[in-house]
Amino acid sequence: MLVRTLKAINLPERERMEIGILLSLLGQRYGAAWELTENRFADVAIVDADADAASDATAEAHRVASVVVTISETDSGVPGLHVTRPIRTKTLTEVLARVERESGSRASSSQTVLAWALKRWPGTETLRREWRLTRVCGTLARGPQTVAGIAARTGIEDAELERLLTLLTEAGCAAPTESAVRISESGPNPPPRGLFGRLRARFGRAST
Amino acid sequence: MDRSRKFLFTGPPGVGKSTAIGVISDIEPVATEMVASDELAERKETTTAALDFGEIRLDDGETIRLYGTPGQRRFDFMWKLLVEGAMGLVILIDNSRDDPLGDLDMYLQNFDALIRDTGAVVGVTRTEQYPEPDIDSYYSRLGACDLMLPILECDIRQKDDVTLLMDALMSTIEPQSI
Repeated sequence: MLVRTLKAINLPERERMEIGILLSLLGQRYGAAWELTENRFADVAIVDADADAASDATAEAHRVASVVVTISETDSGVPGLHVTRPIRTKTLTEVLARVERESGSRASSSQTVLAWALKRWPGTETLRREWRLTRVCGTLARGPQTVAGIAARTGIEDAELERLLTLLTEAGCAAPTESAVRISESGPNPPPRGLFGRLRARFGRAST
Repeated sequence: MDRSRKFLFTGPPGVGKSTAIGVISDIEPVATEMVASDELAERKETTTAALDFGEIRLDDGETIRLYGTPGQRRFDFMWKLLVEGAMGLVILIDNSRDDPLGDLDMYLQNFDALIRDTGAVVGVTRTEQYPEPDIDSYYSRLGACDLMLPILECDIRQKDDVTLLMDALMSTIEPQSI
């Protein structure tokens, strides 16, 4: 089952816990596969529009997720997906169902998850320091890829991959994409081996 | 010739293709050079008239061949011959020349089929002394051709920079081969 992730950006701890509980209930009652994540990136980010520095938090939300949901006391004047306080199961269910519906219509029969698109390659200095980025960027240069797809193709472990994607995102070299189409993950390419692997080893640039 | 065993280096005269091949080759590079007789004579005494050749020999005895194309456009008939069987292209651009972006356009056009069939990387040299055009300008040119190639500022006398170019090139080629 495809599990989608939701990240709370600047919500009070109490509300963060409520959302975690509601997502758990949704899973038990309806089989919906959502989970609250502490990871850097997520399918959906939820952000407090009433909080101080809400615009900074919203900008951060757009950097880490392809879909952003706002939460506030009222829904007047708040564009896009929105949840009104206090959070109710029904409201949250409706918003998440809308996310699933809209991403489903974009991707046709494909499953949709958060993907990354390459905007440009990092500079020479960055690649000298972080040589694994060449593998990540080479993968992304062929089109948007999910984290799982990148991991399968590069052999880079999740935590390191998340760090590298964060680095690329903050440098403006990559960004989450809304057209998050899962790309042929049924048969991922293995991590590079063979001739290129041996050539890289020769250059002191082994893949892992 | 075996498709999976050859990389090509191209770029304008004097950009350093021979040097780039020399710093990663395991054999003394073979260069067919002649005395420069045109505007290039101010930059260097000799230039590659036919090709440069080097080899990387892996531990298991497998060999990767490195070919440098002649830089001058009047030798472009050689480019078509050298492209046969190449599995990737390193384009070196000298930022001190009059129209480096025009140089890039010319190589993208002439090696278009190879670039789209395999992959390529762009190495821009002499950017410290000649910062313009900047890397963004190069990306704009690539974008106009619907290409997302790595563009790296480099000093091709440095082995680390040449291996970085090769690493980036292999990353753009990887999934469909080897």
